[in-house]
Amino acid sequence: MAIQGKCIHHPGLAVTIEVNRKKYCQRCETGQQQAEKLLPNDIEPRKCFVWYKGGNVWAPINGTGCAHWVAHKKSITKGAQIHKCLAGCTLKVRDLIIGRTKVALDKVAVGHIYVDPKVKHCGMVSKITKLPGKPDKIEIQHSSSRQKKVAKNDYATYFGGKGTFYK
Amino acid sequence: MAYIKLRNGLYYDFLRILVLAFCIFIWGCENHSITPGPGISPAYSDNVIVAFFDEAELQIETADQEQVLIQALNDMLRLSPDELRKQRYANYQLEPGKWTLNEILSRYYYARPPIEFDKLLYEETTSSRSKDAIKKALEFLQKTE
Repeated sequence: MAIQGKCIHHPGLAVTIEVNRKKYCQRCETGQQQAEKLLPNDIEPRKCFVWYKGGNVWAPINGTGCAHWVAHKKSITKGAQIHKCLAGCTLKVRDLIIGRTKVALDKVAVGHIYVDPKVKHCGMVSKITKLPGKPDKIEIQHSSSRQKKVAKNDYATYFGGKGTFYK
Repeated sequence: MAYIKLRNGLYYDFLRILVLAFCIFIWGCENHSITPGPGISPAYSDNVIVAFFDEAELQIETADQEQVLIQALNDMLRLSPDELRKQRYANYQLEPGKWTLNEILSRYYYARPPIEFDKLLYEETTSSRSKDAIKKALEFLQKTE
C-alpha cells in the first residue's frame, strides 16, 4: 500500500514504508531488507541497523552493534543525526554516555550502562547478586560480536573487572 | 616616525613574523599546485583513509579481536595495495581467512566512510598522510588501559 509523500532517496518513486518519520520507496525497502540479511547474528534490533550508501546501495551500518543495542534498550537518541540508526537511536559508545554520571562500583544497579576502559565496547547491567562479605556479582548484558548473540556475562571474569558504569 | 617605532618596538617583531608567514604561504601554494602522481594522495583532506579515521570510533569487544585488527593495520603500513587486496583476516569469532581489509575496518570501526572509500581504500594506503592516520589508530589500539 502506497503512503503519501516522497522517498527521501528517490523522490520520483512512490513511498511504501515510513521509518522514524522518514519515507522510503519499494527500492529502498528491498535494499534495507537485503542489507539486514548481511548483519552479524548479535545485532538487535536488526531492521534499523542499515544505512544508505548512495547509488541505490543499502548496507549494514559499520561497527559492532553494542551501543545500538543499549541505545534501543534505554531509548537513547543522543549524538549527531548522521550517527543514528534508521529508528533514530545512538550508534556511538561516546554518544551513549553524554551527560551521564559515573557510578561507583558499590552503587551499580540494574539498568546502568557499562563501558569498557577504552570506550570501545558497552553493555547494560542486567543483574546484581549480593554476596555476603564479597563484592556484588554484576551481570552485564551486551551485544557480543565474539559470542554471536546478545549475551549475559560476568563483569569480574568476562570483562576483567575493568570499566566504568553510568546511570 | 612610524619607521622608528617599527625598528624599536614590538611592531618590528610582528612585521618579521608577517613576512615569514607570507613566504611560507607562497611556498605552500607552489607545492600544492603540483599534480599528485599515481597512488599519491593530494596533501589536503580528500584522502579517504584520513577521513575514515578522523571520524571513526573503535568498537571492539575482546583482546584477541584487537590482535587481528592490529595485524591488519600493520599490513596497511607495510604491504602494497595489490598484496593488501589478497589479504584475508579472521572474523569476529576468530575464524581465519574470512574478511577482507575493507570488511575488517568496517566491522571494527563505526564511521560513515566517504562515498569513494571502497574504491580508493587500497590505493590510498601508500600516501604518507594515510600512514600517519593508520599509525595513530595503531597507537590507540596498543595503548594500555
